[in-house]
Amino acid sequence: MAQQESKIPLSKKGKREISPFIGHELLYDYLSGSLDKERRAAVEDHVKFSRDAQLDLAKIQNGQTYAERLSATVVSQPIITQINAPSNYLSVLLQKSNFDKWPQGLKWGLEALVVVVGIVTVLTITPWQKIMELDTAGSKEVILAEVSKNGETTAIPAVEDKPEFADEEEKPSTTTAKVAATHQPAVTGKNPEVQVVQGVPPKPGPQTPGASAQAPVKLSDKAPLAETSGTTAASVVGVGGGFLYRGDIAVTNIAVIGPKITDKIAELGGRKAGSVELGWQKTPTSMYYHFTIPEAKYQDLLNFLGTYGKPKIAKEKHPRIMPDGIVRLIITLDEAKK
Amino acid sequence: MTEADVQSIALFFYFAFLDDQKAVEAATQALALGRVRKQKNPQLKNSVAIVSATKVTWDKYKSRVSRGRPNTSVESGWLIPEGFDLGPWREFQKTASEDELLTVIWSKILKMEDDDISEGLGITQGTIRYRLGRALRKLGSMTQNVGKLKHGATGK
Repeated sequence: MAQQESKIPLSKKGKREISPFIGHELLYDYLSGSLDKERRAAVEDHVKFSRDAQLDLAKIQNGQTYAERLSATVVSQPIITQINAPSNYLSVLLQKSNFDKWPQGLKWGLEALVVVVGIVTVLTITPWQKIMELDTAGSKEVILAEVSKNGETTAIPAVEDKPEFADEEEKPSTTTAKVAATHQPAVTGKNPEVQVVQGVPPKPGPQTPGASAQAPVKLSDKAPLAETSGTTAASVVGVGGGFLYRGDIAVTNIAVIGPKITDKIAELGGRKAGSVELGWQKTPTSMYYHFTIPEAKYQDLLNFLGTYGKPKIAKEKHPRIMPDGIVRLIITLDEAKK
Repeated sequence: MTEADVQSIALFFYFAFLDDQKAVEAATQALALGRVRKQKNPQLKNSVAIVSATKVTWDKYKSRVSRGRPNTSVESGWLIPEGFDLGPWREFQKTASEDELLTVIWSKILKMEDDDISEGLGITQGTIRYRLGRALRKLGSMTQNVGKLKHGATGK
């Protein structure tokens, strides 16, 4: 190796010269001080005699100075925080869509659209039916008017139905008379018929609206609302005097058995009471029977019902007094649960 | 990763893209990537992880960035030194090759060691120095041109 190196021709001054190409390429290394002593001296000589090398060196120095001044750039804290923050889907979406640079009108329009869609969705999803039911659940009874007993305000017991028979109220009990007497001040003379309740039978038929409004009536939600529409003050007098059979029966295949029961009731002399038809289809799985029947046929009816299911019928007190030998029933026929 | 590292990543993409929004977006991704690399190899130097992560993220974004069309504003939070002219850098960012641009940013702006850059990229230090020489010569000539234009000299 030493012999080979000694064969390389040196300059007149005994120094190894570098080519302009190599000299140019080593300028950055020369500036950064990463050359060995011999090479550094060679590059220095090259720069001394080469105008291009001098210009290149100046360029590199300028570039380096300029770039180093750029390093003084500071990133503000909000940007650092933004970069450090864990990115979520929404922020990535906003960044990618350049949402900040959208026109103001477009942004407001989009925001308004989102709000409208949200409101419509909420209104659509909300179960209004249930909410309305909840809202009315607390006040199942509606007090139309109150009368005072001995000058004090009290609620008057409810009456469900209007009389179906002319003689239903021919037997006012002692209690009836008393109650009727106390009610007289509340119906002050607006309807003379109301005052007859103490002994004289009221005229069946429509009552004047004034009398209905004045009469102390409490509606029960168990009975159909239509039944109470014709309620008069005269019917109030039957408090606690009569009775009613109320119950239900579960059967299989209500669609077939329902009409059979309807026919049987009619056959036994039953007549519909209230405003709905006998065997009214309350729901697809439930039928409603509100009717009167001769008392003598009541047991026959129970026997007939017993062939389809187990009737659960209770005798309840009711202000309505029925004629002798006639009983009133409210039976609900339900589809048996499987 | 320290706050200085986050700042380095942010500056890298700011000067590489000259786009405020994309710089933040890319820096967020690069930071996440750098953290993953550090997690996998705790011995890895932060600067090496930064070089590697920024290069990968740059490769992902470079097709989406239109070089030569800066998208920056003074109010965006990147505080350039007072009275500093960014013109030469804009010109450089537009015309320099990808290797030259990135190497100058890593080495001269973020002040990373050549061996860290070479380790992060998987190339020799000689290549880094060669790229730097070419890049600085180009950048220097641009600063001279801007100076001449500013002072009314045409170079004749």
